[in-house]
Formats: sequence, C-alpha cells, structure tokens
Amino acid sequence: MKRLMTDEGLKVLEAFCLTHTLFAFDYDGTLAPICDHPDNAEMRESTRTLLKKLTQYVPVAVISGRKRSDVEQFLPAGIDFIIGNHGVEGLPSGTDTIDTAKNACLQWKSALKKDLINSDDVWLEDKTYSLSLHYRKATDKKKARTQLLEAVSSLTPPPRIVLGKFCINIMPAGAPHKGVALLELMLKSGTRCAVYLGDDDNDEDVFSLSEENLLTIRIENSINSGALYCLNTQLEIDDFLVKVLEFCESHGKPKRMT
Amino acid sequence: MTDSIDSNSSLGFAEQLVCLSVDLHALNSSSQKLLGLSLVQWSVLRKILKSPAISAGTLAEESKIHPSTLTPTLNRLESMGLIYVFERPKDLRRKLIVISRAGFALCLEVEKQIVLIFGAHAPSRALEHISEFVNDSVTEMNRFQRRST
Repeated sequence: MKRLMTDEGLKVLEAFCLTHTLFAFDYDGTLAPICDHPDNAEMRESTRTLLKKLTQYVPVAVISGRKRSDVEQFLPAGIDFIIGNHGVEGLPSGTDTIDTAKNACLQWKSALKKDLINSDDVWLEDKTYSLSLHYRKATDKKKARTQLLEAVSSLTPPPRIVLGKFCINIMPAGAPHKGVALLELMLKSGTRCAVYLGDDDNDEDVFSLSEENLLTIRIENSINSGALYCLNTQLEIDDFLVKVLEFCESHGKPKRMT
Repeated sequence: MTDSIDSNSSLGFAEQLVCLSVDLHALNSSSQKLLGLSLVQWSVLRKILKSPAISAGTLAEESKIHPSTLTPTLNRLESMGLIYVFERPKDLRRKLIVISRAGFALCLEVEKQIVLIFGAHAPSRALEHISEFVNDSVTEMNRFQRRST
C-alpha cells in the first residue's frame, strides 16, 4: 500500500478527477473520527463543509455499516447516494433481500439476547437489516470478542460475520456487501470509475475488488489490506477533500448524472 | 483462368484495402505534424483519460492494439509528459497508467481539431463495416495459418 498524499499519489488522484468518477466514502473512522459511542460520531465542521462543496462537482456516495437513517442525520444535504447496513439498505436492486435480512435479524436478536453476556461491556446495536455487537467498553476485549464470536457462530440462519473496530457485525449471507453496492452505484450514476475511502475490515469488500477503474484508499496503513493507497490518519481526510476540490475546480468539470 | 482471377471483385477490394492502409498511415503522420499527436496516440490517450489507473494489458485489449505496438506508443506519450506510468501497488506485475494535466489539455485540444477537420462528413457507419470485414479476414487468415501448420 502506498501513501496517497505524495507526488505520485496525487497524480493518480488528479487523473480520476479528470473523468467522470463517483466518490464514495465509509462514514465512521473515515469521514468522522472514531468515538466512544456511535451517537456521538459527528464529522468535523471542516469535513462537513468540504464534503458539501464536493457534491457540487462530482457524484458522492456514503456507504456505511450504520442504519441508513442513522448515518443520514450526520450528513450534509446533497449527497447523491446513502447506503446503510454495509450495502444491504438503500440499493435500488435490494428490495428482495431486505425482507430476508429483516427476518434473519429478528431471529438472531432473540437468540443473542439469551446467550449474550448481560453486562455493560457489550452492547447490541439493532440496525434492522444487520446487527452490530460492540465491545469497545469491555475491560477484557479479547475475552469479550471470543465470547461474542462463539455466540454468533451458532446462530441460525448462519450469518456473514464481518469484524469491525471493537465490534462484530452480522448480516445475512449472500446479501449485497459494500463492494456490490459501489459497483451498482457506479452503474446508477453513469460513472466508469470510482474513488473509495474506508478504514475498516468491512471496507475490504471494496478494497478486494480487482477492477482497475477503482482507486481504493484506506485510512491508516495496513499490510493485510487490499487497498491501493492510504491516508496516514483520519485527520488527512480534509487534506484529501481539499485536493479533490482543487483538481475539480481547476479543470471545471461539471457534475454529470444519468 | 488468370482472367477470371483478375476480374474477381475480392482482389480489387483487397487492393483498395491496401490503398486505405497507406492513406490511413499518411493521415496518422499528418495528424502528428499538425496536432502534435498521431490518431493512434490520441486514441490511446483518450482511453487512458477515460480509464484512469488502467494497466497496459487492459489498454491493449480495449484499444485492440498489439502489445508490441502499444509499448512504443506508451513510451512516446510518457516521454512527451502526457502520461505517467507507475508501479501498481499490490501487483507489481501490472503497471498503473494515468493521464497527466498536459495530456488532458492536449487530448481535449486534439479532439476539437478532429471535430473541425472531419466535420459532419465522417462516414462512421462505412468504417464500421470495413473494420468488421478486416477483422473477420484476419480471423480467417489465422485459421488458414493454423490449418497449414
């Protein structure tokens, strides 16, 4: 993985700004810094202003693990696509899978309530179409993680398990993931290329796509990631947005959607 | 026998194709002198603009230019400062090719000139038919070659 904010990385980024490109972002840890509780995950005001400005130039998507309505409240107006639940919620083609996901979550929730460690250390977030089990506050995080993994591995129907930062996400196996969501949004927006930024293991569904027309950028370097480039820290997201705006403004490229 | 071969319309068409090839070569050279890019170079540059981060292999496939012809074209575009060729992160076997700011400006300028020069008279449908015919003929010749070896 190479650093993006270098002479080479910026040349690559500029080339993506010269053609019709979809700019897609994960939310937590990418647009907004990671915080103790998901309810407090506000973007910095500077990021919010820059993101809103970006929507005037290019199609913008936010693909989050959160519930769609939950992430929407944090975003400025003008975002073209808001996808929730790791790609399950908000996709035009996702109407069939959404009921299956809802029913599976109801089953899992009732099973987990019986098995789950009943303490303040673990918190179950019900996002209707997927569940997240947070253990950030656990004193022994490793033990909490192992216990949660044991609990989710016995669920019926067997879920797809995606590890996040101090949380375990479970969603229906076979449901669209972030990679599928991005490819569908590219079709929907009439763009041949996309730039995607994410910070988490569940963003690997995008990073691992082998399409050459994707510029994948991870927040913080990781040797195991499939992303091509990285930003050093989440703080660099503003520098990234400033650069993209600079390129878009200098080339006067109008926003185009089909 | 010779007369019937001489009067065969296929042979006449083959000769016309050769003339077309020579004319295209001349058009390519004129374009390079006048616009700063040959039509082949422009076409490759346009594909790189539309598909940033494309690899040489995919570019050869999409532009239908043989890799051995594409490599010198890419080298030339790179030496002119119109494209950048980088190592692709995660896969050092493939290159990552992107257009430069100068390449973008020249590509747009050349396209304006092409529209002006070719005007509304470009017989795109006719060329499509000829291109299809030539491709089919290449396939047929390759088949003959395989049979004879």
